[in-house]
Amino acid sequence: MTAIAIRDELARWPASLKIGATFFLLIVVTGLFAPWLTPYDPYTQDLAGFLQPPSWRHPFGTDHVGRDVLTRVLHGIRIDLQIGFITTYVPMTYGLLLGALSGYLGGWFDTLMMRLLDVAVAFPFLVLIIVIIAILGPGVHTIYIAVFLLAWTMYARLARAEMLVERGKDYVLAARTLGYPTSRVVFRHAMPNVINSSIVFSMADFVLNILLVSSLSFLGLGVPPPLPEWGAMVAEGRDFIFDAWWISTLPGLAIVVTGASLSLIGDGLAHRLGQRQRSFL
Amino acid sequence: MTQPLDGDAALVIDDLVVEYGAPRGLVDLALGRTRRRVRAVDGVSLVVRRNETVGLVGESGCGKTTLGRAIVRIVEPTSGAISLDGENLLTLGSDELRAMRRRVQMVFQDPYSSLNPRMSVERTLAEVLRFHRIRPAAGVGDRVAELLSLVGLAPELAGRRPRALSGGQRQRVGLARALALEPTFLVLDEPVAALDVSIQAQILNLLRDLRDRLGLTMLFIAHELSVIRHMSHRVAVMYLGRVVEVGTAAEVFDHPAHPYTQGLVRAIPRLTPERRHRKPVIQGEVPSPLNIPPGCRFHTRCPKAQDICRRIAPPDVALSPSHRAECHFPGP
Repeated sequence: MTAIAIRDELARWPASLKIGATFFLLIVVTGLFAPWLTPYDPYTQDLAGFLQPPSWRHPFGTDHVGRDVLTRVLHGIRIDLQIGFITTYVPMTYGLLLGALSGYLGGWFDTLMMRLLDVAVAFPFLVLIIVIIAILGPGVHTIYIAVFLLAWTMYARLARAEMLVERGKDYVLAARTLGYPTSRVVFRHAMPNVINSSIVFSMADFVLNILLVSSLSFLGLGVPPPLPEWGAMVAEGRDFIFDAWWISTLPGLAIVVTGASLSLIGDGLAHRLGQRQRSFL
Repeated sequence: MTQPLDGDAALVIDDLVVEYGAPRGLVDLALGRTRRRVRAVDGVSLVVRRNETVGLVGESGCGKTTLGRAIVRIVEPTSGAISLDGENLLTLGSDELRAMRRRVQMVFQDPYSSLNPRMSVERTLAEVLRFHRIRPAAGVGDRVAELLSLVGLAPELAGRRPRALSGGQRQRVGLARALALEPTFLVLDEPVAALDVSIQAQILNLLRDLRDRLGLTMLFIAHELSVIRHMSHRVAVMYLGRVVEVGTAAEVFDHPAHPYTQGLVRAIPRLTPERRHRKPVIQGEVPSPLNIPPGCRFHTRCPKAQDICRRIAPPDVALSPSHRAECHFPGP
């Protein structure tokens, strides 16, 4: 892309997309430079200086074992974004593939996929994750496995529904007439015209997944304790909420800001991609 | 038009039947009903000779598009045979099918949906050439330029996406894409129906020109008679899944034998006032192909219908060596 093309593209972005993308970029950069932004370590305890209120030395205060809350919130960016990214885009990839194939091929494959999908949708998530924790023990990987088993369904449904429309269009028929094999017709020709709604949905899904992991950590089903995951931090501060509000509130605020920026991006993308069928990927 | 009437058959369609299964709802399942089937094409036989253009005309829903799609194998026929140069297209394995695709190509009706919105003109054409290895990799760019000039498009348009092209330009790209494979047989499914009248004439003239220069054999599908007459050596008229009349363009347009064709021809707008309002044109709607009338399928709308038409399917009557009609009472 040339500089002019990039400028033209930016000119078409709605304000929500610009604001959301700016915030999100700031969050990502902050996460990348987290170790150099504060003089503290997220794990080192300072039992002499526990439960200090926000001050110039500790802008977000310290928690019950004297760790700097700001440092932990900044390191939490890395953990939460990584978890959000993996739990969103891995299931999206195979959800899209399965859904698109299902919609295109129809027949027994479609029937099988849709019944499988019904089972996955009907499965209670918490029960599943507790079962997996019972087998594998708690941790990030347990969450990944549980999410991977269930989260593809929405993308599969979206892709299938759009593919049902797309497969009857003349350009798909033309691709078949030209002798292209099914894989090329589906993935090279039809797929790029099917993914827009999934991309928009993935932004909302990203937020929901961060919240989900935070909730699981809050319940003690998520990431194990010393890790500075935002939800886990909120849970840790719960016992001191009346004496030291900052331990729970400020990581909670980080979740809100991240969620809001992603929602703005999703909203803006929906506008941008809805304007006209235009290339995004 | 001059007519290469004799000459060997290029495409032979023999008793072709295409059925679609109407979806079965829960109620049908509960009542144990079998799948209802729509016969879109109901026993069509048709011959297209080498270098000849056959016009296929009929109302929407008569099965003409389905017939065209069956020829390029994007719709699977239920029974019957289609052969090109003596080779049955319906029994080909996947490798032979790919080779066949190079000989038979299709131009689609709607230029607004027949091109992939995300691929530039150049990518669309280059993909065809690369995939089928029509040209060595180094020659692809030159061939794309050649194809564009063949269909009368400026080379500057190569980098454009379809949305930056007009309807006529898109249809030219669709034509170039079909011609990229250097086919001998072209199915044109209403190639101008979606275009403005002024653009229609340009595209039709381009098609005639290309046909003569490249020696193409064509099945030209349309619902507009003037377009058909402009393009075709011979004309086949379809009604509810069957070819009810076939003959040279002059025979079908000047001496239509089937009452349905007569109705169609009479419906062509004319400038001479004394020929207006001669007889009523065809009344009513096409019956549903789910429920084809017994006997002659046209009897519900036919001004000549007699008792026999309601009971017995009409024979295929030869009116001249080249002119046939399926009617109990053919003729003026």
